[in-house]
Amino acid sequence: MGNIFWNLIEPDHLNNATLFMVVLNLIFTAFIFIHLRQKKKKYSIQRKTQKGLELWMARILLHESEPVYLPIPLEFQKNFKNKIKREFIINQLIDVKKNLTGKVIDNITHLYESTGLKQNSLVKLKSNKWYKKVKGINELYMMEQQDMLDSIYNYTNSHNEYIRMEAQTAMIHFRGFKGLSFLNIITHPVSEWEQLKLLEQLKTLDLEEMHDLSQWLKSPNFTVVILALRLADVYQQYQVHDEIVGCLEHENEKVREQAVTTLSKIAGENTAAILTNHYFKEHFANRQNILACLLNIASDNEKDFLLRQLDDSNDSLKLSAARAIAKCCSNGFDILKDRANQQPDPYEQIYFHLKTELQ
Amino acid sequence: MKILVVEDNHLILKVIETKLTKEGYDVISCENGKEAIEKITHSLPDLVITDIMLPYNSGLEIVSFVKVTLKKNIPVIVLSGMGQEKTIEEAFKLGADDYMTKPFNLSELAMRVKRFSRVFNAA
Repeated sequence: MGNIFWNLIEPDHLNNATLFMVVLNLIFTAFIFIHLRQKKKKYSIQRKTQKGLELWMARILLHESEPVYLPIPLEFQKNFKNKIKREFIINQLIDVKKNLTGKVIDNITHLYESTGLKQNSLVKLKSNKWYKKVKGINELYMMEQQDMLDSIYNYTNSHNEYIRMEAQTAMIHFRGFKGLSFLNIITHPVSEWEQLKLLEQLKTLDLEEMHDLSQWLKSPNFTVVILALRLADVYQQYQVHDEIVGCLEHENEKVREQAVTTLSKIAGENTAAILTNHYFKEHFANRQNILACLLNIASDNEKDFLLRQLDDSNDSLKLSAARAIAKCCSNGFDILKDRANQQPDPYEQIYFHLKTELQ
Repeated sequence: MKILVVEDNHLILKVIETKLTKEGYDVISCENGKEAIEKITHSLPDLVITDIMLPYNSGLEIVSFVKVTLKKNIPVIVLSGMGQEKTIEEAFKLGADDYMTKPFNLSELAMRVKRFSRVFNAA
């Protein structure tokens, strides 16, 4: 079979094939060369336009007087018609807004509105894709589009976690503490991450009038209750002390844990007694939490309670109770020393451990 | 007075550049640390304003290049993000002269530059 094939091949065939391959190779190389050259030319034109556009935008952003509508120069109009370039410009404006303050911020918003970039964000907001919707919300609040507040508010209880989170962040951005009003309607959980994000966002704002937390402390959504408890803790809302005591009876363990922590931060005269009474209704983790919180609020009034906990079968609770005695009761270390002398195992070890830790 | 501005966001760079040019300074700019080091070597600016997070060489490396490698008394203003206290501390240890935390006010930046320009003119 092989021999028949080689018998049919003439030297001319090989020469022609080689020539054909060389020509093909040359055409291919020329094609790549021309393509790259065109691309480079296009890039250099784009870069030049880009630089010009950026200079034009920078001048508008630095406008000192009231924002005025400046028509887009002819050479840049193409950029504003191209969807990808519009996206790029929006992202750049958002970056500038994140990095600069002062008059320039008003000018950014004005530029965003007057060049029709807002339309892009609105299209994204109406998109069925969650990530586009999130981007749309982000752009609209970053560009201070207050008129979109109601539309964005509707998304604060979206079934999609990311849309919900972005809309909630937007509400705080627009309305500060008043923006927390979405907690009245929210049926989906406010995740730990979102709670931390919201609290961090609120930290940057001046405390205005805090919404009455009582309503949120009774919310059927336990994550709302936890967030309200955290707000009471951070913003020292003493007026809801009694409502928080009510949360100690909540069916959700995490709510009870947070209620104990919050109570220790806004403690009144009888808070320590309330916690010691509640102690026996709790599981191990929250008992530990109560003993840790008593460390900051207990006094000699809790001495008997704490002494009883020294006899707990769990060594970890024994240690926590001993720590509270050492720190909060008069002659706390003497009490522990006596106990260590009476029953060296394990109290001697606890005594020496706390002596190193606290003294 | 010749000022080098180093910032990787084109538009922010352009805004700072335009603002300082308006104030009457001679501004050169670049978008990454590598280019900045080359420009410092060749143009020897009288003041450097640099972002911390940059491609190739960071703002800290630029401070180190000016103050430790070149041993030049060129003032450096560092632009840092919020929560970058450790980095600012490091920049000062390397010899940075001033810093501004983002978001910052352009007029404030111009005033700080003016303070350095007075020292420069007096020298």
